[in-house]
Amino acid sequence: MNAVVSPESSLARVRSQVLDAAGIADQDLERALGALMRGTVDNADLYFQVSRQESWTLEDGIVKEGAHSIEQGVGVRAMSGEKTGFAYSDELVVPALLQASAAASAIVRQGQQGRIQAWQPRSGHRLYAPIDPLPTLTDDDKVALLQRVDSEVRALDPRVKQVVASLAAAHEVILVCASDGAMAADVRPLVRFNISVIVEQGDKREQGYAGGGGRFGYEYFTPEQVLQYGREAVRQAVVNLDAVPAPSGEMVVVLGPGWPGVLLHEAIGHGLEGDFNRKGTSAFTGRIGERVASDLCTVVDDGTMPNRRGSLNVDDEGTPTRNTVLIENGILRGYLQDKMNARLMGTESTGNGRRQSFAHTPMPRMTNTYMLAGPHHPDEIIASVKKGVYARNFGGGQVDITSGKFVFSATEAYRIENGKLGAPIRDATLVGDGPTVLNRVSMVGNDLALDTGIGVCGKEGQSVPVGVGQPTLRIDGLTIGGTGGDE
Amino acid sequence: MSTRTALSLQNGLGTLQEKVNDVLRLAKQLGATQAEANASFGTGFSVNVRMREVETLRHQRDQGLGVTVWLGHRKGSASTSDLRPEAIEESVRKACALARYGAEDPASGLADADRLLFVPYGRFRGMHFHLLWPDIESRVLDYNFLAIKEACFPGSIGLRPQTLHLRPALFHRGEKSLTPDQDLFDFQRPRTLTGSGSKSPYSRPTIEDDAYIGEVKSIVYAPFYRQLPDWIDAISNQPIPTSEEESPRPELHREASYDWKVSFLPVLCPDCGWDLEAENESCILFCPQCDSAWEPAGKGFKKIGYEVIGAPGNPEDYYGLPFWRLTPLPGSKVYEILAEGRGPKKRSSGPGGEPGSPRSAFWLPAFKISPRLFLLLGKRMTQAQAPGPTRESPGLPASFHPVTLPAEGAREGLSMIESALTTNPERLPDLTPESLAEGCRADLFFIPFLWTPLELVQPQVRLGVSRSALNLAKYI
Repeated sequence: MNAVVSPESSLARVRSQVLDAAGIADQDLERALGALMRGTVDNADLYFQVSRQESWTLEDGIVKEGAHSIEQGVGVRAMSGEKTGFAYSDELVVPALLQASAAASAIVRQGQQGRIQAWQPRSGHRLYAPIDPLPTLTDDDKVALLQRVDSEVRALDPRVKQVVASLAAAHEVILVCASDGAMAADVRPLVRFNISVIVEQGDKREQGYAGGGGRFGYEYFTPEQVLQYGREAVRQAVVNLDAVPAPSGEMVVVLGPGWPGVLLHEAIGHGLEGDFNRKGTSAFTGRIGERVASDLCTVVDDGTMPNRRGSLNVDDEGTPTRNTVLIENGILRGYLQDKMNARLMGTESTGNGRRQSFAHTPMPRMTNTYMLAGPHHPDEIIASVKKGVYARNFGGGQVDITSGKFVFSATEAYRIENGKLGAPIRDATLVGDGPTVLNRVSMVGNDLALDTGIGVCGKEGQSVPVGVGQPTLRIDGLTIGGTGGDE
Repeated sequence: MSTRTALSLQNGLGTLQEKVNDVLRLAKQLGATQAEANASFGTGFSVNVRMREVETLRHQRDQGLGVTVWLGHRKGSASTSDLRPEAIEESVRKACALARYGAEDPASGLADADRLLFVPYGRFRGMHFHLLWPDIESRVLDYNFLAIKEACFPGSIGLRPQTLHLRPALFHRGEKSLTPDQDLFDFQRPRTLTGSGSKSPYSRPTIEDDAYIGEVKSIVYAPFYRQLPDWIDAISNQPIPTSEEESPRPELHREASYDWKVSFLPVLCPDCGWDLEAENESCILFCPQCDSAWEPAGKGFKKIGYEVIGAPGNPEDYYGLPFWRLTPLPGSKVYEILAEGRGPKKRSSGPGGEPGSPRSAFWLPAFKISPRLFLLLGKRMTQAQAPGPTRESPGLPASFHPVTLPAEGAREGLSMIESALTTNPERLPDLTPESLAEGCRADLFFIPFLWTPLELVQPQVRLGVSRSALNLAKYI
């Protein structure tokens, strides 16, 4: 169980860091919110953010790219019915704040003054330490770590021809105050390590990729840890050197644990976001209480997992995150909501209102989305398949929210023949639609795993860090698009 | 230490210039051999629409500062939107740290200003109409060509003028440049579009005509440097392919010998002293304080009049699109040509058999838009003439489109509009730019168009203009 942090202490710290430093006092916030709460405005909020980010990229043993940026600003939002007025300024000074408020409130017609509730500090979770990860390693050590993994990975296999490794960290301090009285702050560290390798054998070239991270400092990336990512990248690339073209046609597909949960995220998760359902554009619209999956499937979105990449103490609207059950034993139980969509749909926010930065408007977004473990041993699942495909890793994918249709390409996949893993296959594309696939889940493994902390989810041009996960799954019939002919 | 700054600011210039100077000074202290800083400040506005209702309205105010430093041939960059001294210092330190660990790249670094040679390219942008009566073909032109005779440089710089950020050519830091060859500098309009009249179903000689509207001719200087034996393109850092024979060494001109130079005007209303407002490429500036309109002329502004056509209902529901009303003056050459057309001289005009009188006025868009829409708008507005009375209380419309096409540009469209409207080939006008320049009075009007989610609609004329077409016109 996570301890609930005293809201006053973290608020006070963030306040001094964000507001006092910019000379913004409480009465300025009230004035700005007052300017917003005109006429038919239902709700308004101010979102302050100060963030610092850096990245180091080592390519072929040399630091090829480095970046460092400091961002700060305030986003001001007024909501009236389905309308949103939004303004932002990346100058944290009182006149800019008031100007932004005036612009955001322009969406509603003149009328009486709305009401602002007295601020109530919201208690959030304490899922991660409120640290600044950037200085947790000196610049010398960051470069040394990258150089070390570069040479170690090259030593693993002479076929390794290219190594690109990168380290990135972000330190984000946010403060939200809203007309409904919510006032919350959060200090969010985030680090990530990535490695991609290219191996060559004869005229064949294959790529492998691995990485990890979460909400902690750089100290997580011990030399052993990063070498483990390097080994994984080399393993994937080498496997694909011997890969044969993927078969095509509909067949039994077993999805591996962990990162393959990205398919769940894309094909199911997005369809359960409140905005798509309010607008009636999701394949799951109006289906709460109905069976949408086989009874083996229970899917949750959990923003409260300690140190995970997708976790948040409070969301970007100041609502504490929670563990929301989306699908329970196959029955659709709920959607992911932010404040606006929750209000319009007559429910409450699930703590999923997220935004890329102060310069973006919040919308319902996932945090860590995964399927719970089932009763089957993964070996038992593979052994149950006479002929099929085992997809262990995925690259990119696309999904159409309205129909739930998706296309995913597997970066590591194998044939299954007579219950045993066979030859690796290349260029396998998985095509299907979310609701149908969930109904065809016939076995769920007891090996639930979450991804290593590398997920970035994009929606309407906004990127946010997320987590995905699942146990090994057997799907009875999924279309594989390959170049190896019909099966 | 060589330094360069690029500033794109709408205001706050003084403070940002100071910050940029601070950055460059600090970078030097920290050991940078070269540094580049840029600062920006701007505001913007956008609207999202769903189900014909405004769903999201956005307003933004951005500021930012970016710094790139070189330690020899190692490069590091950082950026910040926090312009407090401590954040700026952190960014510069970080950029230096990133540069320190960076890879040595001999091609990296600002090419030394004194090694760069700026080569002139002529650029032509505009709308081209080709009349092959009764059809009118149109296209948008934007092309460039080498404006000197030395063949060792590429004949064209392709899409760069359209895709790269261009800054004013102010050669005050000793950069070398070549002077365009005079005859190439005075480059002509391109030749006609098709040149073939074979498709015309008419037995009489084909009637062809061309019009160029809203054209802009400019010189774009592209940087190159010498690394024997090659000339290197300083943008791509790639050598340019040279022909077999050794081309003559270009003759350098340290001092550009043009009879023109860039000058800046304070954009303050000459009447009331308020800031004049205008968007990129505007050719008329408006004063939001006293509602006056100004056209840059020489070293100052010339006041021009305009009229606003009224509309029923809430003025805020309308967007004013600017149009030029061109009125041929009786007695002028234009008037005569329009009255007589290009057909054989009229039969002996008996008593009372005077040539017809031309249309009283032509209405042409005072903004750039795709040539097809330009023609359509001009045609429909000229047929309809002014939709409704001018507004009683003068003053700018609540919102309006910038005037991006000067009256001279619109005048050249007159013959195309007449050609598009006439059904009698003998009445087609044969107008030269010279004859148009005089004898045709131009007045600016704002015509109200209703905001709808996708289109701007003129209810009286029953004419819609796609809003995206107006946006895209920024690139013409």
